[in-house]
Amino acid sequence: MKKLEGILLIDDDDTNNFLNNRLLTRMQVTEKIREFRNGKQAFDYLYSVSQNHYDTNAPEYFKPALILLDINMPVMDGFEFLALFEKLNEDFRKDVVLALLTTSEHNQDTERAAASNIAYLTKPLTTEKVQQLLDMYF
Amino acid sequence: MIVPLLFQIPFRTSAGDAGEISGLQSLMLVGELLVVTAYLLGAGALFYLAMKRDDKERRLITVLLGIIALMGAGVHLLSFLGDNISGELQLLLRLFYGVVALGAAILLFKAIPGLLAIPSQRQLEMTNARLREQIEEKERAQIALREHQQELEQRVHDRSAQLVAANRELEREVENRKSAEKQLIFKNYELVKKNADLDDFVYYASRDLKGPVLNVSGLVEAIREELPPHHQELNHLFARLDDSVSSIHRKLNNLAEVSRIQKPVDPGQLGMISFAQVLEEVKGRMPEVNWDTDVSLETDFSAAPEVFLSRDNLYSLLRNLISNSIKYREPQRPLRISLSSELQAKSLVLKVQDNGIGMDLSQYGQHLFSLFRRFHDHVEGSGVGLYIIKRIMDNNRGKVEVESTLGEGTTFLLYFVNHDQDTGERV
Repeated sequence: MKKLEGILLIDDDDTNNFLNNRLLTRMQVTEKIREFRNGKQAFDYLYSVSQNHYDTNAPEYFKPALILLDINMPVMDGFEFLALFEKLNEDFRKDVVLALLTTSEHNQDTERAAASNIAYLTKPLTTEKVQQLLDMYF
Repeated sequence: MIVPLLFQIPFRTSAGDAGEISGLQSLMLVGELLVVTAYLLGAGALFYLAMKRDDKERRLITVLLGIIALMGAGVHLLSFLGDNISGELQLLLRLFYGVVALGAAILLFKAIPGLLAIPSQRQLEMTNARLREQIEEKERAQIALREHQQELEQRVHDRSAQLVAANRELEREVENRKSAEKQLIFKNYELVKKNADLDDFVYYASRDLKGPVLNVSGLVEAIREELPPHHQELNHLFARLDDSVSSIHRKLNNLAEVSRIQKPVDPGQLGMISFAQVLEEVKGRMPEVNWDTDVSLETDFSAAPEVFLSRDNLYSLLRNLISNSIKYREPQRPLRISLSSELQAKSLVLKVQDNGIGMDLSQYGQHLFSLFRRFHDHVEGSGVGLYIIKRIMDNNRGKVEVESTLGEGTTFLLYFVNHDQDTGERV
């Protein structure tokens, strides 16, 4: 199986990040996984990467191929993050896959996800769901 | 006066020779003629007077006096014409006149008491006194009437005052009621708000608890993977842990759904929704059911393919109805669920019929749609499904009816407000 460049997990729930990290690591989808507690932290990181404001030798800095994004988060929630992400330059964005990962089955949320043309996954993340996502986008 | 006059008339004999008229004789004839004329005029005047009279008595007297005068005139006329009429006839006529005059005089005498019936002074005084008495009596009656009238006016006045007082009291009462009503409206508003807050609380609590519960089940899975497999005691504990976690999870989902149902539907989400489409969605989201072998699902939405509702609500309705039928299926026979829609006069009716175990409505009917009430314990359930159906139908001004026979099956009838199938306009 082709390995991904790297994955970002954006969720204010540490344990959830831990479990998803564990699952993805065990599936050996990628070598690099980073966790963020809210949209702002993740966006700051992505902005730095998109502007090449980082040491290319540092292993903790990488451009992710997949971002799993929670919706309800403090400071900056998933949709606010999406709005900012749209403003990053096109070249940087085009090979980044975004997927909402949330407990919410609320129609409003699924509709917004569909409107933004991004994947929508409900928690908990499972091997099957990850596999489906990979098959679809990679 | 006249009667004596009649007898004073000098008796003239017809002793003189015919054709021999002396100067004295002619003077007497002229005198007789004057007297006749005077008597005739007197009689005529009396008759004329009699015709003019109104009262019977005086007319009679006047007529009688007239007759006597007339008789007198007749006697003198005979004296005047004495020579031309034979002696016997003259005597007979005189006798006749005398008899008639006497008769009239007798009648006159009889009539006098009637003439005297004219009221005397005393009678008049008595009548006057009587009249005065009557007048006094009338005055007294008038005074009494006036008093009565005053009393009536007083009574009307009193009554009006009472009415005004009563009216004021009523106005005060109305004011009180108004303020009470205002308070009630305010309280109601507060309650509605509190209710909404509670629903929000339940919704957000259930949503926010979902994450940690999922974490717990994920951690349990992780621990299971880290521990040696095939450990009998551990496997037993893990099975129980899984059960508990999934039970919490299910309950949270139910709470979230109930709280979501309580909220009024955003009008923007309402529209004509297809039964068939939403049914497919329901089937798609119940992967645990094999729709080809487990259930025979018959549908006929041809009469009314769409209903005016929110998609969420129709999804909840169909999902709860179908999962209800599956839950309470009769294990001895293959489950058959038939769904159909039809248009009635005022409603669009969705009929969902199954051949499940059915129930005794006389026993449970009244609590059937209550929250958290359950009537079976042989299958897993939360007691919210039928409540949700009822709530959705209530919120959309519809109603739900249920028919069931123990051992044969159950039929749910959902009555929606009828909307035009093409335009979505309310019918």
